[in-house]
Amino acid sequence: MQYKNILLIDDDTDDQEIFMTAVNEIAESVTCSALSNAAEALKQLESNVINPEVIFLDLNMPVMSGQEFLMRIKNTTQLNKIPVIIFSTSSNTNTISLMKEMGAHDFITKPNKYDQLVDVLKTTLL
Amino acid sequence: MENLQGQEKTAVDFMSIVNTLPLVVWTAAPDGGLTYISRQWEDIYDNPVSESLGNGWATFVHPDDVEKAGAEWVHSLQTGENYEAEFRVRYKKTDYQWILVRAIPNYNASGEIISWNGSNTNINDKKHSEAAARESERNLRNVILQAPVAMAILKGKDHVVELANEFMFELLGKGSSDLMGKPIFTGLPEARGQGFEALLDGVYKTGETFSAQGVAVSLTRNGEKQNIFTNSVYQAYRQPDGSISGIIAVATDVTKQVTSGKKIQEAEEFLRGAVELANLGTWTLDLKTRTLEYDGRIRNWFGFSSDEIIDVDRAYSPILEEDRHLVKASMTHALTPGTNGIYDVEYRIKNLKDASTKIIHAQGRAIFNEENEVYKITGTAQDVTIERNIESELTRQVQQRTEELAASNEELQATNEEIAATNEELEESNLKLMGSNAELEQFAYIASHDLQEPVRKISTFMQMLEKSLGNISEKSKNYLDKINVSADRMSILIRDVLAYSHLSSVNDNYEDVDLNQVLHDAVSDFELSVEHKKAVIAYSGLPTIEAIPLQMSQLFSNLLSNALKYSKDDVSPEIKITAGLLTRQEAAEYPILAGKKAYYKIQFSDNGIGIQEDQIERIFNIFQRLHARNEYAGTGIGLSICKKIVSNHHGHITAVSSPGGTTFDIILPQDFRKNLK
Repeated sequence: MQYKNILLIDDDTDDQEIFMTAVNEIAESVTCSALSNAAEALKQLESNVINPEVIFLDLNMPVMSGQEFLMRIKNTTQLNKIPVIIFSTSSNTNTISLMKEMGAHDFITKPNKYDQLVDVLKTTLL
Repeated sequence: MENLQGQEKTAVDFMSIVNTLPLVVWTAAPDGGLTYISRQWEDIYDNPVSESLGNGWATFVHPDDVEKAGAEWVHSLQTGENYEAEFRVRYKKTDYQWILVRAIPNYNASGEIISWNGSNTNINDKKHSEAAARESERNLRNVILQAPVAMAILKGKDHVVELANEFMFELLGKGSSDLMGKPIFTGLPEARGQGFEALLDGVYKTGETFSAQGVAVSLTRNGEKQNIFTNSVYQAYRQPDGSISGIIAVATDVTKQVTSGKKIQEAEEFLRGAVELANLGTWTLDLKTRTLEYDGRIRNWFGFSSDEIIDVDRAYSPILEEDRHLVKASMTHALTPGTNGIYDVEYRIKNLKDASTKIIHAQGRAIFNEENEVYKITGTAQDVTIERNIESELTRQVQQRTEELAASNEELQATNEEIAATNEELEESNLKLMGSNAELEQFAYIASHDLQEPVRKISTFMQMLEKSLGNISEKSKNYLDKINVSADRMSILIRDVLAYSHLSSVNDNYEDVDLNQVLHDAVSDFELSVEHKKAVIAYSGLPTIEAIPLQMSQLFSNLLSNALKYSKDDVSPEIKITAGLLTRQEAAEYPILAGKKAYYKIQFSDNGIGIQEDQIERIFNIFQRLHARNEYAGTGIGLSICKKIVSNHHGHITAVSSPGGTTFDIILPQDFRKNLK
């Protein structure tokens, strides 16, 4: 397992549950935490409260959008090395390429099937 | 003795007679020597009798005449013929005078000359008048010959040409040999019958001079018949005694003057005619007297009486005061040296008598004397009242029409504004409609997007539920499957609606799209299905058009998908795609197309199950399905998307169908943005 400490930022708690279930199914040893508020997440990252190796980021969120979060973190020297993988319902190619241009490591469209999610996370994390 | 006495007395008497005769008598010997000279000799001649006897007389004969006189005397002496000679002898008081000498011989019985009796008569006066006559004739001839005009002398009742000068020959067009010595009407037969016979006869008989100017004569000059005009004088030619011996004819050729005079006359007549015809008045301003000559017409217009003398000040009186400066200015211009001297002005007048008004157009030209000073101005005047009134009426009508047009224009403008207002309203409505459409599309987008989330979660949690339940009954498993299938269907439905609504909301860039490539890629995507159904797909020569690449892919994918899906069970699908440029005439059949573009017509035909004719209209409607889901899978959005895409590209899509298959006609512009020139 490449990453031992994973952070998911997603305001949808259902998705948080699904994501964490899938990650645990792949590797029980991985620490996965989830935050619903991107602004709060940024604060914690800046103050070293959390130190994830990789961040999965939803885009469509209240308070602070995923896009803003990505921009902030890429402009923060101590944090800009952490890979950010977009985890969104969007499959819009323009959005995908825009995010990658902004420094996103990868882009995963939330699949309709749990099995598909497990498969795509396996490929990403292992 | 008596006889003697008588004889002597006779001799004495004879001598006294001789001595009283008013002439000199003499006798001569047969040898010619003078033997007796009467007493008068010495009284008359400057030569004493003693020195004149014998041959002494010759010494006082004029040296120029002596030889001739002598020779003739010798001749008479030798022949015995009477002597008669005229020569000059020296007179006592008056130098040489002419004398006539006559002598007759006296014969004896044997016929011999025994003596000569002679007499001298003074003929000086006669001789001088003869010379004078000769002189005068010679002078006349010289005058005639040297005259600068044609002259001739016609002699006798037949008018024989005695003399004519070169000018006469020239005038008559004849040579000297034609005329000289011949009656005039013989040498000049063509002159007969023109009245000249009577004319010449009259002068010859009456002696009355005839003169005439510009007489026309028809002559054959140098072989050519010509009409000439002459000024001529025919005068009697009189002898010294006053008798008429002929006619002196003098003539000058005035053909040129007459004809040019005729021309001037004609021109003047023509001008007069023109002046009359144009109803022009004529006028002359004499600058010396400062008076104006007006013809009757102008006097009538202005109200001057026919005998009134009009000076410059008076001339201004009929002219309206406010127009007088125009007249003055034009007159000053014409009089100013160095200008063209043209006077041209239009002014209004009020008749001095009846106060009627007219508009007069006067034109004139300054006339210069030899010192190049203007001494008069002469010209014409025209009553242009009617013309000007017509003009102003026309101007008024034009003005009226212009105003009417302006009014119409205003009305039109108002109508236009109304139309514009209506258009604005329409535009507003359109904007509202577009807004509504956009809102609807936005709603569809949001709805489908937000709908997708719960559906996705249903599907995901369903799988998670299955896993957590572990072994379940077959019945439970069946229910779970049905939920999954429904969720999947809903997901697809939502995806398609999303795709449809997405078509309007994106502002994709238009690019050159090679439809061959698009079709190639689409066919690749359906590889499995094509293989499975053993479908044959033929296409080539498709154009490259300006379009949104993704939408073109979607268009042909949907069409291919339909064609493969709605194939006949027992027949391999045959799909054929062709394309060609639409002619203008063909394009005109589709009112929806912008006429200025070049369009391609792409025909997409299959040999599938076809569409019933009455259903064709409906196939492009969203969610329109013609078949039960268990027959053919689908959401009923595919062809709506095709129509939307074609419409996005300002094109047109229709379908024709038969039991043998369906053909879609897709018309797309070659260049989406560019109009044809």
